[in-house]
Amino acid sequence: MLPGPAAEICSGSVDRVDAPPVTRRKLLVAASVGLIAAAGCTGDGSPSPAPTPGLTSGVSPEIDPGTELDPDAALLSAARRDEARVLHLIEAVLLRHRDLRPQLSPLAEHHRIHLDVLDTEVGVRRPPAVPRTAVAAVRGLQRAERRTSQLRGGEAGTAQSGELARYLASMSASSAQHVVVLDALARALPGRDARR
Amino acid sequence: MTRMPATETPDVTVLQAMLAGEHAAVYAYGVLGGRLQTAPAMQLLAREGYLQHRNRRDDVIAMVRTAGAEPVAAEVGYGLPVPVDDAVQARTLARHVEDRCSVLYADVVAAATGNMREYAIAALIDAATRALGWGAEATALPGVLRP
Repeated sequence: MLPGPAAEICSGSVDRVDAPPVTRRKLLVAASVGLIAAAGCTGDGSPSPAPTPGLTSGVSPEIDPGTELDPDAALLSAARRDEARVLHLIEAVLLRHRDLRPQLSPLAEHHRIHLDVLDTEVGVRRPPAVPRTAVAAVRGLQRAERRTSQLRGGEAGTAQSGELARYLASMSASSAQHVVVLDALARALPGRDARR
Repeated sequence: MTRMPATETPDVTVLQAMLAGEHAAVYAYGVLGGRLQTAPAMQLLAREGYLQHRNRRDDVIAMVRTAGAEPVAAEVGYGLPVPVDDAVQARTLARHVEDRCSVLYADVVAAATGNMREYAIAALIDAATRALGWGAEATALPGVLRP
């Protein structure tokens, strides 16, 4: 049940061997996502009855100071990473096996569109829920930084490349520093009794 | 990095470099702790730092022995990079120590795998956050890029 513009870019891109102008594709994707986002608003403030998987904008619930700033952020970045990886793989195959261009170019184009959709989706998503008080907002950032530090640290432990591991561990340490800085900031703000 | 005889495995070379760094850190914390008499909060930080680096030194000594090598000994004395005549200079020295440890452990992360890399990741994080207590600024890539 994708609206017109989405169907248009899909059919249009399959026939095309060369990549279409990025600006046009981005505009079309933006339009399609925008339409779906608008369709999610019923006008009376109630949630959309049938959200489209992967393209929902959702309706902002009452702000909960304890929520992660964007609950889908990790999912989106993982999806983007995987799409970019398979796109790079297809492009590498195409460089070496040019005869496969007619068959593989459309596939590459599909993945470029996937990336555009994911990027645009990030762009049109409702802004993350930000708590009303500054101290709660800073505590939310602190939790996000702590989680980021743990994730980068875990990745550093398993990376095959030593140099990559060094950078990931350093990023983990940087986020750990941010946790300390944000803790000090939260303590210095008024209303610092907000839960940590 | 400490240079070790070529007969040692790469892991032992890395461990001995860690140990040499921790020997120096323990020495420096011993010196700077004596320059912070008038600042109880700083004394506490210095005590925690001293104990942390002493524990790491002992950890690494055990790791070197487990690897079948003889742990490098501490130097009799170390040339300090800054004079340490007052509390301000003591804080500067402590920042320097943690900065050097960040670089050291970032190197270990790149050179090691498995448990040793995990150990180095934790030590890098510890050094980077401990430096903040001594007045260092948070940076983008602790132990990799100079602020």
